[in-house]
Amino acid sequence: MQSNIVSLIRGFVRLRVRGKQMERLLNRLVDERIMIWNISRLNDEMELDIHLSDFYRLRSFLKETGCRIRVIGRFGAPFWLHRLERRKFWVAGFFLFVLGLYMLSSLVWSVQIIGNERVSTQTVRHIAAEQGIRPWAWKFRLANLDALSSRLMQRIPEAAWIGVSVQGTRVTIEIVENTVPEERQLMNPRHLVSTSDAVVTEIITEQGKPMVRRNMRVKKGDILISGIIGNDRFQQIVVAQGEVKGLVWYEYEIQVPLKQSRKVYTGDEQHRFYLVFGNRALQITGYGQEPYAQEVRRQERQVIKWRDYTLPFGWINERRSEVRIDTYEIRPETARELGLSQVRADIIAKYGPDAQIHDEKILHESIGNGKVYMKVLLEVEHSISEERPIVPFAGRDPISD
Amino acid sequence: MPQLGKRLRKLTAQFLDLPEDVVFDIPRITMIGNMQLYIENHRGVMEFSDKMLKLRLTGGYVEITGQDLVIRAILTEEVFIEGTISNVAYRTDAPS
Repeated sequence: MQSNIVSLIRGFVRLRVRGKQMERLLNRLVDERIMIWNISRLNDEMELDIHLSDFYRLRSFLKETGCRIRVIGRFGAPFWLHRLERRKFWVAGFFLFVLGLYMLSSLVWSVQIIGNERVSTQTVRHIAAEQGIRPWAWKFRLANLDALSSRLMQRIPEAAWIGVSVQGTRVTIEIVENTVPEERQLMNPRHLVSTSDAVVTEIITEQGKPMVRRNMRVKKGDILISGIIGNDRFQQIVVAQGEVKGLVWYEYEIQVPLKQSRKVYTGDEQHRFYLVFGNRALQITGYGQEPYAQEVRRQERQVIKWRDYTLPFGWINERRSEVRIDTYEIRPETARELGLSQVRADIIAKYGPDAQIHDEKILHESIGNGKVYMKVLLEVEHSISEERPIVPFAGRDPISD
Repeated sequence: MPQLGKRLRKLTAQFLDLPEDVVFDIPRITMIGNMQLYIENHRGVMEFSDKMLKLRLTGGYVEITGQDLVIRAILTEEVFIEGTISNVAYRTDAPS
């Protein structure tokens, strides 16, 4: 037996046979190895299926046995094709559809650019478009992807690597940017001068001519590293660079009150609840509460979010805690320590975290009017260099003289 | 001579433990429930209607009766019948 699919492809017909010698017809067909199947008998007629190619060989057997046939059904590919021949426009439409689908799927629909941080997407898009990677371009007219990526890399020097890949109708340009060292600031020719009277403790010259040595006293405005190098005849003006540290003395006058005050929670609290619509809040609970004389307010604001969308609804939980101000006395030693720590913080704030306090001397200390008065001398080591631009003056620098 | 050949074949079949239908020209009939029937080694259709099918065999015929009989497939050696089968009768001709 042949499978159904093969029969459908070859095509077969259902016949109704009428005649006296139907059994003989059957035997003849079987002897001739003509395949017939689904043979059924209805009164004096017989129905059977036969392949289309065998159908044309039937004639002589029918004559031999005196049977007559009528075709009652046509199945399989040959008949479908025949039917399609009549519906030319349908077939044309079908092929147009397939063609259209193919054409549309061989277009570039979107260009995706990922991984760029410094190069703008616009720039990359523009450069890619020059190489033919743009929406509505034919995919098959794009050059080889490797060639494309190398060409893009030539055009985008900021990229260390560029990968071009095509997924369906989307072209993805993946950019890995190279890490460029930060560009140096443009600097004027300059000297480095001292910011204050100091004793130099350390000098590291990167560029320029060092004018001081370690343990030298300098005055405010003295040149530490000169921007003019060379001798009188062969000179060059450069940007003096380096690091100069020095010991500087600072005098502080401090007053610390012996009575200090601080805020203390009394433990009393009020709660309020608001509903928020847009930027309006509607108070729901907490009406009729006496306001505190002094209080700390804390608000917890909640908005309803769904994925990236923020809805204009939300609520606020407000908590008002009562606060009282306590005053308390401190001992003079504590006050002194407090004052010194303030001074240290001040030094760090002014001269940077590199500043080191080498010595603290309390020169004078007295108590009066409920305050501790102190005079403190601090020995601080910090960077003392400051830039001073060199203004060329008829080939000579008036400052360096 | 044919008698001798027959006896020789029978002997071979017994000796080699072969199924007899392979050696002799006799049919093998397989029936699945009362719905399907397989007959191998037939010698042609003698009579066919939706209630009865007569198949020639070597030295006889088989008569199948039932309802809505349909020959699903027919080859020179095989027949495959479907329908509601009620009777399978095996008739041998007068001994030759």
